[in-house]
Amino acid sequence: MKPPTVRRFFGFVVLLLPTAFIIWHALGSVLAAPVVWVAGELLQWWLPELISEVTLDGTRMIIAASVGELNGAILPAAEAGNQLAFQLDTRTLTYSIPFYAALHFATPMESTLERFARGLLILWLLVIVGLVCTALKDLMLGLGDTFFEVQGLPPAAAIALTYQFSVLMVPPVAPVLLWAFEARNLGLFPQLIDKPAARQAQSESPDG
Amino acid sequence: MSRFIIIFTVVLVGLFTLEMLDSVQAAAIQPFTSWLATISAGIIMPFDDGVIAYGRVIEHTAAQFAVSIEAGCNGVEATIVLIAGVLAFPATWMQKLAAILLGFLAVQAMNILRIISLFYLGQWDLAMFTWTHLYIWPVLIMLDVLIVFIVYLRYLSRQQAAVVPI
Repeated sequence: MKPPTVRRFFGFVVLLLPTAFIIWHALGSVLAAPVVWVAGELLQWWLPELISEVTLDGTRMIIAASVGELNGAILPAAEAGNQLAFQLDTRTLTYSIPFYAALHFATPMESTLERFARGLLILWLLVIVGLVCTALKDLMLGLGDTFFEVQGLPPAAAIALTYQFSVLMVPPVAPVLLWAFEARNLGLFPQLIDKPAARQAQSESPDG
Repeated sequence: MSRFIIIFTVVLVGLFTLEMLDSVQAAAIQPFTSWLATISAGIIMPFDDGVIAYGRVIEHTAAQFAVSIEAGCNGVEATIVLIAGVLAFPATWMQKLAAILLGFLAVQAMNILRIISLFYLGQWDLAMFTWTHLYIWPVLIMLDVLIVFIVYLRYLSRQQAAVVPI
């Protein structure tokens, strides 16, 4: 397949982005459901003392804690008479999917749907990690000392750093890295970085 | 390829961790973010006299709407990605330095456009502001980084072509 020029490639990406975002928005909970389910299972397995249930409400992941709050004190839900809940916006992580889709479908390649499915699977795994990191941060800030009474949890600084990294860095960077990895041998990269110029100069030199 | 991935990852994680340190935030990131707010307000003010800036906040006094530029909104993370990519790719130190400086300017130009557009979008429709702020602009900023990086690779390729030994 003939690789596109740089301008044409980025033009395709810009044209595809609105469509990709509209589809992503329309699919809503369909894209969020698998990752929320896996992240929920992981969190309930890891922190059974703190989490009683994880559900999906539209595109929001709802974490129902097994503790509640009474007069500023964190107590078991039965004693407190209420149950704390935390909600996470999955879209702050899954927007990597329409970005990846635009980059991917702007690049001509064989087995494009199969490759896209593989990329989507990797992005979903990263979103699961991001949801777990975000949940840990929310639980840490919401439950305070009660959170750190659980054995085997990472230190506060590590939770804060992994949360920031998984929210600020991973969603915009992962799609670019995935796309670059799958496009590296497809003729697009040499075209994008102007390898023909290098080859032409080489062929025009007296000694070839 | 593996060399690129290793250097890119180490620089990316290292600089990001450095950026998140309280001391770095206080000494460099927050003053830079305030400066960015001042620059953005300075661009708007000649066209809109209802705009004032203080600290990291830009406020429209007539519309009673204000935005605060926070971590993640100052283009620093995008610049870190660019620095990691440039340092991981073989080139001379002068070429790398020039790419980082020009790339930083390109990212910040885009980021100022982002801040100004969000400032007015928020006055028009808060839901649209939230959607654009959280999902659309991070993608556009990263696309800007990718364009800068590809242009840099093309420049390097042409430089190599120009010095083919005879």
